[in-house]
Amino acid sequence: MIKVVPLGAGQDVGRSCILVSIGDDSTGIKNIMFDCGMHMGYNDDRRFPDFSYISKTKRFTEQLDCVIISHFHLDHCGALPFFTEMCGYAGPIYMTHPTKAICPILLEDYRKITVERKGDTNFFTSQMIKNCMKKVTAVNLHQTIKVNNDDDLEIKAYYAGHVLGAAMFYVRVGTQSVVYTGDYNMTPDRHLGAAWIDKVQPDLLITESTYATTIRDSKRSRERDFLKKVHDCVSQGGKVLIPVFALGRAQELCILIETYWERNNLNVPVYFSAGMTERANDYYKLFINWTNEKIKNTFVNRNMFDFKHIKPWDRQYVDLPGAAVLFATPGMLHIGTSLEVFKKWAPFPENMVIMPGFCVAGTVGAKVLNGDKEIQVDAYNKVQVNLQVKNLSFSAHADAKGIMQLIKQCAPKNVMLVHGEKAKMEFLQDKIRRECRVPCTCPANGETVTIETPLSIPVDISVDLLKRHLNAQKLSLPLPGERIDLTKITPVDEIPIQGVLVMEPDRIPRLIEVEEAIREARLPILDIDFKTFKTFDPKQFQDKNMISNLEETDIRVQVLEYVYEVVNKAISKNIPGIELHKGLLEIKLRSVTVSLPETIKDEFKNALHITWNSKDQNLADFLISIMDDILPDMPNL
Amino acid sequence: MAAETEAPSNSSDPMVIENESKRTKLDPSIDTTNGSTRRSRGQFYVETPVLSSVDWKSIDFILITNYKNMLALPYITEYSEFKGKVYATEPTVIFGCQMMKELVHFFGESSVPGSSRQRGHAKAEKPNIFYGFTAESNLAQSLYTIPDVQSCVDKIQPVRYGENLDLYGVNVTAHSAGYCLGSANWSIICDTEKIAMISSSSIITDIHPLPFNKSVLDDADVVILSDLCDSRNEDDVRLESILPVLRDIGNYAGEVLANKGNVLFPCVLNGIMFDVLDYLGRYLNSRGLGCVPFYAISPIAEESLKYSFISGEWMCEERQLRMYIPENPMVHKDMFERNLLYYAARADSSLQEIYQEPCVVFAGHSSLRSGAVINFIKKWGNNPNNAIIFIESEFNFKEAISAFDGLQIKTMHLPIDIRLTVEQVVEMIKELQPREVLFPRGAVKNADDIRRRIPSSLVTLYEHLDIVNISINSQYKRTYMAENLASEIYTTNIGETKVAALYANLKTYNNQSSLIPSVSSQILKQTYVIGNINVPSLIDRLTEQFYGCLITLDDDIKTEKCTIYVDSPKVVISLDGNNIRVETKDNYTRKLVSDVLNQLLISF
Repeated sequence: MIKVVPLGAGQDVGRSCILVSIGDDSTGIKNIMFDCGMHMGYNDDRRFPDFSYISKTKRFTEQLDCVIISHFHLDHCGALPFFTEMCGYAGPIYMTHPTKAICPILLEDYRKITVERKGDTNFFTSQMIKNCMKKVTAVNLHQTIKVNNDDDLEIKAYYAGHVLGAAMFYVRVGTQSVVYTGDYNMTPDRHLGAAWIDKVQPDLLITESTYATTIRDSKRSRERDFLKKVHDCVSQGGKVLIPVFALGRAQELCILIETYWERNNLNVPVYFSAGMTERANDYYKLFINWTNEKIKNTFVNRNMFDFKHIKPWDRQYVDLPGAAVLFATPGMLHIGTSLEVFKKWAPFPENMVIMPGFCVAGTVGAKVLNGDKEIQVDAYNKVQVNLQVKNLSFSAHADAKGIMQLIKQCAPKNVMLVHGEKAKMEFLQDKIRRECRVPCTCPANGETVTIETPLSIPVDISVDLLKRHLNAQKLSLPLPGERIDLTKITPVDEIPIQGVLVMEPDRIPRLIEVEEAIREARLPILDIDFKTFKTFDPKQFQDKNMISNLEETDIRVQVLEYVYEVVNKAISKNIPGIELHKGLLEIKLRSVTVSLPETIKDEFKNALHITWNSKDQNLADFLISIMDDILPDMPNL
Repeated sequence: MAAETEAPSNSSDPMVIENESKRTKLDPSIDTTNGSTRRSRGQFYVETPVLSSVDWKSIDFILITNYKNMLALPYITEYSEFKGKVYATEPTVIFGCQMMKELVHFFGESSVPGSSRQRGHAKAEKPNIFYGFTAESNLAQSLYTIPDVQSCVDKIQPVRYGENLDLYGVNVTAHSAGYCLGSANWSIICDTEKIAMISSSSIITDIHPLPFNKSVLDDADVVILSDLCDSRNEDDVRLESILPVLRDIGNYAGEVLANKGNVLFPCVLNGIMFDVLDYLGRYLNSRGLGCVPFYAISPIAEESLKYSFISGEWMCEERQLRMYIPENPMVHKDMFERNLLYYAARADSSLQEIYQEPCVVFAGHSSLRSGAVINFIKKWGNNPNNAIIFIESEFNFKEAISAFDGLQIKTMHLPIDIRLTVEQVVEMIKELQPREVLFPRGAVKNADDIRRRIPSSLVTLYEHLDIVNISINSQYKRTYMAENLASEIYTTNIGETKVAALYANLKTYNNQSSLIPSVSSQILKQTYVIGNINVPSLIDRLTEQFYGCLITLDDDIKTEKCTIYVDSPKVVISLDGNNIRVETKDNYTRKLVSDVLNQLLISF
């Protein structure tokens, strides 16, 4: 059974935090937390997931087996230092190498803004971020990791393409499995490859659904569109503000602008809000193996992340006259340079803001996208929004087509949607149910979804036992004249197997030969042969079968014939594949033999003789019960 | 099931493991060591493993351990009937590709203009080419080309450490070998049997690669060792730490440079060279020689150095931590940026602009038979202030330098051999007690001593072209029982153990087997009765069951047979050792007798 509770990102974007309990009696229940994000729309307690759901007494380390972080975006890792340093979780944490490298930078940035600009107290410190990152185990793609050296809890990362180092995680507990996608992108872009996963057939796929209803046009035309808008604006002397995350989309757009500027010989200045840029690019240079094939293959000749046209931004430039392009963080215009510049440039209609990403509800970015003409940017200030607002979905999330593609790729038994807006999710949910024919849920935060999984118990079969059964498997030869229907011939994919299941404490059950099973018991196998009689009432038999001249043949021969017919029918109906032998005066089913009594004593005149070995007790019981049904006993006089 | 190991011609040569229909080949490598690269009529021939001794069609996959051990791969992928798959770690693919290309640059056709065109398949049917060669000359082949290398590399499937590969029921995983970036030992698991394939490995911890991962040996039934440190060479110093030899190199090079001499390292531009470069850079800086430039000269120098900058995930933890700062895990990235380290494809005019003496040069080929290293020996050879430092342990430096008689340049042999020694291996596996351990004969001095120290393991020494059969008898095969089958099972206790007779169908689908209930499972299930019959208690119980009946015992003391008669209802029970015969008049009575027996015996 798998139980899932979203502590965040349930019918919402932001604060991703999915709690999964998975396992059965043989493995024990494992609790895994996927992502530990913050919500950008809130500045109070709601910004972090409600961890009290896991444990009211803060015994997180005992409750959770591990925390897995999918990528470095704050809505996926922003609450991690809070969880480890302030809530006290001390268990294992897994993320990819680039995520481990970049995550602390973004956390530090987030901390600075929250504490230094907004004056929040009771927030995690720089030291806490460092301490937190020390607890992280970095993983490589496709590396299979046994969490806590537990053979029953295995995780494996797959390439997700969303940002540098973004990964999807496959988690297996015993025979049950879950895939959590984090954010992913099914189409390669200028610096990253496309998400890919094996056909792992998980019991549950938990996928993001940011663009649940969008089917985007081709990448190329979107890029053309973007460049044209920028070019049009700057050629008329306007300023273009492009709010971005420091890492990720920014690098892709920079590569785009850089090549365009180069090709068209433009000299309009392009800036990147400083600080993080160079360091961000340093990371990209270090982790070039995590970008796409093209960049990887050219790393010797040219570093894609050394930009010629793009220069660091200086705050003084904001009032300079003339055209300019600025990439500024953060992407949702909620704080920082992008908001500062936005305030200055927003009132002028020749300027333009290009919102390349998704904006969380409540942020200035979301209001801009909403078309608000007057925006309250902080407690005291309102800004008139006269500049042109363009929305270009460059955010590297899978669209509806991509999500369906991933579902087909990994072939899950159930799907759960998270990280999206409720209305859009419901649309996609319906589409998945219809097109993929798998159950699909989209729980709200705090809502538990239980998924029943077929329990299967690992068993080790003795190879000797297996071989004996495989060798015993024979194809029946066609009878002369029998036509073989070639379309009906299929490979044998099921064979009957008989053995003894042995369960020892702390060991996987074994299916072995009986001799081996009892070896330690030092007790012999007993061979018990039973011999008994079945009497019948000849009158009733005669009535039923309307046999008239019983004088001439022994009634017992006829009864045996009759038993044979009935038993034969019952066998072909209930136990196909076993052969009923018929002799002159006996019928035989394995060791169970029904025959005429040798003695011609009176008491056995109306009786059949039955013998069997105790091994075939079940079969004998089956046969005797059939005979009891069709042959009523002699009435007791 | 049997596994067959074909012994290699030298310690890093191919091994074939055969497992039913699956054959695994490990590490085809060209032996360019010990000067076996030969030149004939102006063309180099290389000695390859005995490729003709293997039926390549029957090989399912090739596992590569590190870039040094794959140099003969193109002969297999391009010129043989091999149709299987090749697996190697990512850095092995990249560095291996570079090494093969370097080999072509050094010894291929292009290095000897005007030579006759004889490619790859030059075999016994053209014996004239090998005129003058010794008996082994049929191993000599002309070198592959750059397109061969590219086509070969494209066929390799890159993997990471710990990535479980399910190859048709055989589970294969690469583990860090600690020898160089991406060096791998492979575990091959077939059902419950595990084979550990250990090649070039190192347990020295203060070098740049990710350390040796011992888990490859855990629960291994068979351990196959190759490329162990050749302890026969007395002047090869086994290392616990690399620092002493780096200090020696530093001191020696420091002296030479302080006297305005130049230092030449004939070596491969990867592997242990990175450690030497790192150390020397820091050491010279501390000696006030911080502005001495380093030159890495080889057709692959740039690629190799730059690739090392982005391979942080494959390095030891200390270096990984640098990635997170972010700083480059390779210190020489810094030297490179401060214009202290230069690379060049060859010693030509392009080098001239940046060249200044005194300097340190790393150049190949280590055999001193080709490459930029020759230019430098010619340039510096007559000045006793200069020095050549040989750090490669696998080349005979005396033989190498013998081609240059009467030089004034100083030569210093400071080999760095970081490979596992027999001693270290024995220490590692003596607790693990694998069933069978295979040593390369060449590396073992005293086999009896090994056998004495790992008494529970069968120790086999193998040699070139030996065929070693390893029996792989998996006792168990893992399957999964369906829930509805499990719910039908009622168990009986025998001591601590629970047992139950089981009749089910074994279903195989998608290479996964499962036990599912068979429609007739309850009827066809055989049951078992075990135990010893105690005649007096049997009679007691029968007396209870058939209260008031006459029970008589006919005991035959001679044959230990006995017969118990119950009168009305009439029952005859004959006991003969483990055979019991029960005769009754009707099934009802038979059931009563069975109940009695079940009370005295265990049935399941």
